[in-house]
Amino acid sequence: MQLDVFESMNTISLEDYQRREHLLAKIKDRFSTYGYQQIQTPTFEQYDLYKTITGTVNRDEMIKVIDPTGKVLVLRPDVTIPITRIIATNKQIPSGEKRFYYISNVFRNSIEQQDKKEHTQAGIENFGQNTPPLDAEIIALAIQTISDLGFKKFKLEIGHAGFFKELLKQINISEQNTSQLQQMIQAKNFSELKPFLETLSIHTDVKVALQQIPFLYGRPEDVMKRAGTVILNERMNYTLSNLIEVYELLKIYGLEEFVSFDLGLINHMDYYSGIIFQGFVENFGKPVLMGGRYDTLAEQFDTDLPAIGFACDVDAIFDAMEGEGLFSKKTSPLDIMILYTPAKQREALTAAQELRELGYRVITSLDSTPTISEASFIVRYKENVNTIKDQHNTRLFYNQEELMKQLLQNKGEL
Amino acid sequence: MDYLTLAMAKGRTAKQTISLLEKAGVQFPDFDEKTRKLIFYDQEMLIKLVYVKAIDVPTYVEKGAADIGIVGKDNIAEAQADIYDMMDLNFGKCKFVLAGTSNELHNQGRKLTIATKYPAVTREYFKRRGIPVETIKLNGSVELAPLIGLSDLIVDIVETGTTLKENGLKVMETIDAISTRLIVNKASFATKSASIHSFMNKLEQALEV
Repeated sequence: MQLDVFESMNTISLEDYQRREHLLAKIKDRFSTYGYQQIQTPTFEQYDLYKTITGTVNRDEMIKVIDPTGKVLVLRPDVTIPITRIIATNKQIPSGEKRFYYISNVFRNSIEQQDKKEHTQAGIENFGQNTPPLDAEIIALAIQTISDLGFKKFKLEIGHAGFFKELLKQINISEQNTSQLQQMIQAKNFSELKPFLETLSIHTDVKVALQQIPFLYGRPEDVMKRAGTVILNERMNYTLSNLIEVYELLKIYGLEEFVSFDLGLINHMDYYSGIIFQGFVENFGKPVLMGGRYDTLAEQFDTDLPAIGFACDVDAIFDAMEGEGLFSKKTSPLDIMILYTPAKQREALTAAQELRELGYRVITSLDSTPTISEASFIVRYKENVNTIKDQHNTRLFYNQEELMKQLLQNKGEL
Repeated sequence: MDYLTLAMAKGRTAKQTISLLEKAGVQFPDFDEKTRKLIFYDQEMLIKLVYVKAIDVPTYVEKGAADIGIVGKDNIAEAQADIYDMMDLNFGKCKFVLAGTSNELHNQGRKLTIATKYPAVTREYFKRRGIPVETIKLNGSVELAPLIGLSDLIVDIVETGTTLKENGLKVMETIDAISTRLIVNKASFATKSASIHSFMNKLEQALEV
């Protein structure tokens, strides 16, 4: 039987790989301008780590492996939980604020896309603080990251996990009703939400608030004005004023045009406890970035550790950039191709080494025709004449000094 | 400004959808139900209509191939797509029902088999009721299944119930009400907020007339 290599494997083209690296380099540069340092978590994690933490990755989606001792391991299904585990449990790490970023692959079984088990995420995690200025800074970083990649029109939707969670605390309904309610709010399903709420025996205030919450989206100023109906207690009031403070700070960053509010936003990751957000770019159907505050996650490791972070879906960003034509034209992988005759070998190889020292990308060949056609310059060492050729013309040179002069004159072309 | 892409379901609701759109001032002059063409433009309102199979509408919208869609709740529920289900257009009304040859859910500790075009909806309903079932996915003439012993019961959509009656089947339970909905892609909702809202306002006005 012939192996069907296309059915279950993803093949990435050389050019796509270069583009991806370019994209990742830009993201990394931006993360480091906010003082984040790269780390990496192990590819294998203990299944128990994910089993005990509720409301994270669907257990059926995790890719499990059994080691020789019978222990069940999973291929890293998410990055936030392992990083939190490392920071929360390692007492050797000095206390104080910590800033980390990662570029990691996460592994999940997807029923819809059986051939897509691996996704690249690029994200940041910040530990140790919970203040509106920090939340605003993280959101500013998220916006700048997307903007760096060339997207002109995009929106970051900001909500807060506290609103829905607090409303749920006020009522006592079955788990099934809770999930149905959550689904309707997430789908902004106004036509079914109202009759559904009528069937629940809950207090009128909460009923009105639950009915209003999916409507509370749009321009932050408008949402703030209309939010009064869902604020039932002091805690929710405090949450709203924090959100407003974050928005005011984003104005100082000059980024308010990219922000909208959605108080009905509910993230499927249950561990979020505070501000949550997701980023959308034009003409792409999925969020390209998601994040939020998860102050209570470290409690699972008996540590009190406020934390906030976000992750970019690199595969989604790549597709969106391709769709919008945001990748620059193909760049040549080579600056100089040196061709030489046997008698000129020493001269040619010495020249190549010197050029490489200076940072030029050079390959040499004992051949008369270039083996790679994409070089910006073709340099030939022949028995009695040396030439350098660019796109337009061919010039002679007699020694290394002259070669360098020619290259420097044409530096603009590289 | 860019076009807003609207995915419209082929089939029983297409005519009513087009007439509602016309009332809202959105017109596709070269549209005709029997056409083979799949894309139509309203150049004035900047709306691009894609004419696709009903069950595919939620997929087009979820993946962002269309910004908005007009399709029955039956297909939305079956697709379980992550979209905004924002407006009830109040036409194409029918019901999801459970039907069989007798009036009783004959369940003598044996697993029930249900034939349906809507396996996801069926499983969800019986899960909620705590009854184990096996579903058989059929693509048409579902009424036939219990008559020739392929299944115990069926889950299907009914408008008048005539087809069921003619085949000697009775409605045992109503699972859910169905009507045509306006659905919206979540990303488009954020990035094309202004044009989507203006489209929704026009539809709302047309519905009130």
